Amino acid sequence: MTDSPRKHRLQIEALSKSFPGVQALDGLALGIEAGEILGLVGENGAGKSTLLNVLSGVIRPDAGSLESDGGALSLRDYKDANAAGIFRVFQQQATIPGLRVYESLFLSHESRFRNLLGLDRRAMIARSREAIAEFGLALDVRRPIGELELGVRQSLEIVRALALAALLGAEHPLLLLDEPTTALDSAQDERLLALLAGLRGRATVVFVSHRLPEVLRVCDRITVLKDGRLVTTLPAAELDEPRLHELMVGRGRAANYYRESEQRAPAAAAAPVFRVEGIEVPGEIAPATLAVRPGEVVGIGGLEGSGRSLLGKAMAGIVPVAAGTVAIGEDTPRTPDFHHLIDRGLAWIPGDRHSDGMIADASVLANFQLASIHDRFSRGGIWRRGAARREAERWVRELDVRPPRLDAKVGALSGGNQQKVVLAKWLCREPRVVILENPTQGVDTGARESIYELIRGLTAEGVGIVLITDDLTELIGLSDRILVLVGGHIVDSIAAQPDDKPDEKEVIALMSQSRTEVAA
Amino acid sequence: MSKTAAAPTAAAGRSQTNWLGIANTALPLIALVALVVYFAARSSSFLTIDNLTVMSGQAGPLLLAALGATFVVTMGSIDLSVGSVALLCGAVAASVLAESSLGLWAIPIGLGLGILLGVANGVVYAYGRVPSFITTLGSLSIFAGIGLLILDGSPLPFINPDFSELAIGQIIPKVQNSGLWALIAWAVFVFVGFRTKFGLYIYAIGGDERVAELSGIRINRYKVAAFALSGLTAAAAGLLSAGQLGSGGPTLGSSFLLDSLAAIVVGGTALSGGTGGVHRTLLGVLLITILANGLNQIGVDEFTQEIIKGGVIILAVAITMVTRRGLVIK
Repeated sequence: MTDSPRKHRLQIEALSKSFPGVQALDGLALGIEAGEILGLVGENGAGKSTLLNVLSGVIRPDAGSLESDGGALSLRDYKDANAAGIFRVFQQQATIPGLRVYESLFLSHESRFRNLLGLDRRAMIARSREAIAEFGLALDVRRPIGELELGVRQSLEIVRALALAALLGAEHPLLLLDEPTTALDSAQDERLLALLAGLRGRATVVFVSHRLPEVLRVCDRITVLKDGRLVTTLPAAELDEPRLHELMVGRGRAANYYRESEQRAPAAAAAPVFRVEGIEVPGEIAPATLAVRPGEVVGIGGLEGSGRSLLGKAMAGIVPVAAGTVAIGEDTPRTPDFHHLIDRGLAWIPGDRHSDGMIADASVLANFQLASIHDRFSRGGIWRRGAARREAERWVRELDVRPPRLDAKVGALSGGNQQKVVLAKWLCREPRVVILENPTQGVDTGARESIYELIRGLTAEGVGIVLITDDLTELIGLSDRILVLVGGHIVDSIAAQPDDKPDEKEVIALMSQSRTEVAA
Repeated sequence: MSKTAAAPTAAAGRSQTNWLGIANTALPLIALVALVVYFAARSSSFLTIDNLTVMSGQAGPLLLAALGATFVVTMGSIDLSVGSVALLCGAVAASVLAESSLGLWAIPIGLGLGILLGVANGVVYAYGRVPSFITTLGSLSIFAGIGLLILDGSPLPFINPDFSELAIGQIIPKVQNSGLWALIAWAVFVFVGFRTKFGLYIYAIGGDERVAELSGIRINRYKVAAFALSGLTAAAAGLLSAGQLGSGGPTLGSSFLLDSLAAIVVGGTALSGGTGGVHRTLLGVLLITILANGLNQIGVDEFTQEIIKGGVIILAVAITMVTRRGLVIK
């Protein structure tokens, strides 16, 4: 950092916004310097999304002002924000799968590509090629978005924002990136971060992410929000992860973050609680065999496209398998059948809670009881309402779900609380085996810790856990053993006892082997 | 925009939810009271015991036809075949009564057939993966065609005092039995909707089918069951109508499709599924019945009534869309 006063791209003064019952932003003041990458971190509910919503014109603040280039900004909608050179890349991608790349890049700005016959596709294609080449992406702009892998799509979102900025003649575009890496695996993540670093000086970037290491790596300065207020803004160079955690939650992150001290090596002699033999999904998963002992966390690591999520579904009997068996405890091995396995003590907790785990419009109670109505919460077809409510209340209290109301709509809860409800939905069944995917995706630090505590609690009770996660530190921190999946093949098994945790780089290297290396 | 805005706006919507819930129930109630007051003021014969008895007979078959269909709509699907099921089952019952010595066996035969037709709809929809709109649009035509073949295109009168008594008799004085049976069925369906595993699953499937399936619910079975119930209640409605008329005719049940959907939607069950329920459908049925009866009383002709009814349906859906919009910014 230089001492010379830097030009502010955007000055935020005394910004406040309240929603019924929530002060989302509380007199926030913040200057965003031209050309910098500013990290924005805080727990869920700290006000990050609200701030981005205000900056992109999606919601209007109750009080406060925005100033840009010495003039006051009044943003009524996203197009206003665009006109002011502000562009946003959304958390859940706003791309439409059926559109082609070039159509998607200039969606809603087609009027700038008119010719005598209407839409000048040739100009759009040319412009798209330029924009994409500029960021070192190589792909045919005529391909439908739906065919591209997630990481490329997310990169395209950033390219789109910049291409629009250029199209609209914005000299100093300001990009708002809202957790652009949440859905990406390590390799894609790296490419996206490289792309970001390349923007330094050409654009001003506000980068929101739950993944602190990457915020620390890629940002110039980092702003910490808590309860809608500014905690501090510091140069990234002066911060490290523990310090950042401390600022975010107001307490230090324990060295024992993943509760490794509670990790017990399962007795080698113990009979496995979950046995998977030769599970095969043609073209996707090569015959996979694994065993989970009571109290053991078996991690499955792999890049996106390695089939890690599919393997979990195949073991659970959710997707059909061509061959192979599974067995819980002393059961006779048989072809996986989801309903049978659930009755035998399996819990399958999905990685994407929004599409697979919860009914957003339904209440906490309705979501909580959904997997257990057939056995625990009904008798003779009649709902045991009292039993369901009592159980739900117990779990809501135990996991500290907020607000602690059974009639609250799950969709209205924060990510961490939603995840707690999804966990409670399955864990109330007292499962013997849990297949757990991305347990902390889009979950704030506080809730993360309670989830890790919960996982350790399960292992202490002898539950066997298959952990499938794209969060590498979590995978290493929680697992007793990590199976590395490459192209649908389990290629390696790494010990991960508390005193013998593998290095992140080592695991990445194993996960990044090409399939030819695997075959050889 | 995207889902990103959902967190704060959902929080904002939380305190409005109750208000909206109240509005959702209050609006049909207010409309109901307004209609009663209006028609009572315009026609001296509207609020008479005799007319109320007539209305209990008019509302009965419609309420029955709408009950099972409400489950289907709550599940996020639609059953367009209720009128045709009523026609076919009514026609079969009429021919059993008129042309055989089986007598009241016509009732289990008619109702059983209704269940079968519903199962047929459900199987094609759930296992054949044909959208319910298309499945029941097709079966609407098929069932009606078979019914008309049986009737050979003209009304089939029958004489069976016991059967007719079940429809138009008055076990409770001044309440037509049709209305009584429907009300009893309604109470049973409300219980099923709120207090049984089946009911909870119907809401879950309507809320998010995929999540329901991934929670271990065998959704196809419940889909078929919901359509079977819809077939059962549509058949019951057809039998009662036949009992009221003393014949099975080609126009039997012809008003059920539009009227039952109108009642469901006006009552406040969203076509998108997951919310609402049979308790609300009673309100919708009363509204539709009072509207039709009252318009008759004040001398509005049949065709104008159709126009008004169509307008009411669109208005009701528009209102539910508006009250829901506050929760989601898209």
